[in-house]
Amino acid sequence: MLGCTYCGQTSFVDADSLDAVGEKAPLIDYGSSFEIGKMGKWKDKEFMVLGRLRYSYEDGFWDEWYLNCFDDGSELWVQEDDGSFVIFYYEEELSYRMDYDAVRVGSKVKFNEKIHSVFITSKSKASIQGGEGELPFRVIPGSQADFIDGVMEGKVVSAEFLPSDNIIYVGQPVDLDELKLRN
Amino acid sequence: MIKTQSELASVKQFNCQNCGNGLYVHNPRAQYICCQYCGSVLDAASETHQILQKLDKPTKHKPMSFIELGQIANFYGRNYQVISRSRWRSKYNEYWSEEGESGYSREVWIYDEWLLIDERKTYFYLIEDKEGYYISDEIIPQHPTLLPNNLRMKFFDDQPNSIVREYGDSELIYFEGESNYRIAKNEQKKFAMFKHRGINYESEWRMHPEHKDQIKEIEFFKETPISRRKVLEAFQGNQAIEDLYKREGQWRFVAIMGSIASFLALFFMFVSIGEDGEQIFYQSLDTQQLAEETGFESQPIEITEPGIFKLELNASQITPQSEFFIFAYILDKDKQAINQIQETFYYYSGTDSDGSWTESRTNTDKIFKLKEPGTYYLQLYKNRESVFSNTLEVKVNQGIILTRYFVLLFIAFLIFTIYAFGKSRGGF
Repeated sequence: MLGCTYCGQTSFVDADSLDAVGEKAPLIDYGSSFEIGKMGKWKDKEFMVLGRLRYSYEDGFWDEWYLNCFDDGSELWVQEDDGSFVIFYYEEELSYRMDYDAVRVGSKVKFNEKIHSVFITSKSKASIQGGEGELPFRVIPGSQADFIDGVMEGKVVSAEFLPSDNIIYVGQPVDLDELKLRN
Repeated sequence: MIKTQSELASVKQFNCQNCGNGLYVHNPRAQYICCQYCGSVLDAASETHQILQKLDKPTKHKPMSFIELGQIANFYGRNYQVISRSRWRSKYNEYWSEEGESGYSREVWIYDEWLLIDERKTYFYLIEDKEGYYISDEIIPQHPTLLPNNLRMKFFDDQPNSIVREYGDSELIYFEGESNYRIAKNEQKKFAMFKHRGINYESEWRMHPEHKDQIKEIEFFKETPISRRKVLEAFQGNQAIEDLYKREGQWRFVAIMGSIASFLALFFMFVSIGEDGEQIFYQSLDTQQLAEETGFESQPIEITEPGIFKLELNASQITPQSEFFIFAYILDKDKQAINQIQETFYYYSGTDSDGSWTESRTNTDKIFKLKEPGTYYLQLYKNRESVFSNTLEVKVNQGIILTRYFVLLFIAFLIFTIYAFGKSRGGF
């Protein structure tokens, strides 16, 4: 998936062609330490910022930055919300369709055998406002992206409910200095 | 207003649609701004900056100390700008423990949450209340919990299960500055807090506005105390801090002067205790002489300077198991009484089931003031019933220093000094 950083047009990369999808949704720059093309290092992993997704929900919006690690080609996501950052280093598809409405904030939920006893801290209806740069999956601005956030054994767990699939991310809060961002 | 270089970059400025005062938006993500001059909440994101609602007048919720919106503070080696203040009123249960008993008492507490943002758009909260300051950091606990039934909680493996120190509700009663979220006065949140190694650990949760029985969001915080001195250091360079230092310096000077005055009052108080002045009259009398109707009248006593005098009567020899009553008058030159003293002198002793006992009164005195120099007399009478012969010494001293005045002065200076010291350290 590619999002033009100038006009906001989202395009799907298919073989050698670019198919424009969705409406043009240029993202307003609210100022961030992240920028597409910037490089950094988290723990031993050198990475480059490839893209950004912006989600909107009833309380505002948040950004998720897509990072690609040079060494092993692995992916990282950094969630930037109100000046705090969470790095997600593990993701897994949820193999079943979860009953989003049945989940209560304050309860413990089992997502699968690995990710269980997740203490739910928030959930909200959300949608993808837009994307820019290079992204690993098809993004259609305006599409549903409800989420359930929780905590498990000192880690952050976030489940995203996209139209195509449900993905669980596991991560941890990170200080901006720890990411050693550079141009 | 000319922006100083110390202000963070990319500031959006516009005037309040209600009162016309200048407003500054430092956080590009801010959607709303509440005017700190009139309390109007404006749309910060649009060009029209429409008034959305009105909160309380800011004068009702003045800051507790020197921190103000727009100030720059240096924390963790970075410059932060103060962009908002939320004032909360908590009604909560506070744990107490005394002499083997414990329980929770109902309390009310007010505190401010200052939001600071740096150039990288990262935030942190500085909590301020009457007792001090805390830096609040969001944390991800290993053992997330709200308010357990047994009122004991811990967040991390290395913490013991600790008693919940406080739990209850907080209500937003005032807001000023920028916000990414819609400002909702009277917004409620619940909390439960425990302490570990001097740090407060807190879970905070907001109920769903529509589904009242459901929680909307839960957050966990660590609140680390920070001394006033360190907060002042962080805010150094702001005009308000310079003014505060100046004011506190003046109070410190006043406090030092007050300490010196207190010390002097204390010194003179002790000096005055042993200072009886100069004796200007002495007479030893046999009380039999006083039994007559004329009593005793002294020779003229010449007073050359007005001042404070002391008349002292001392029954230096008193017949056991007896008592007598004395009237003493101070007369002016026309032999008119201008002051008087009366006292019963006695000496009794005996034995009872507790052993031997003695009761006596053998002396008395009176301080009096003479406003004019001149000739004065002393006149003494005794009650006629007493037939024993006793010895009564009569003394008049001048130049008396009154200890009680120094005691009062000492207390007054001490209270003032404590107040001034408190002011010099930002108290009261």
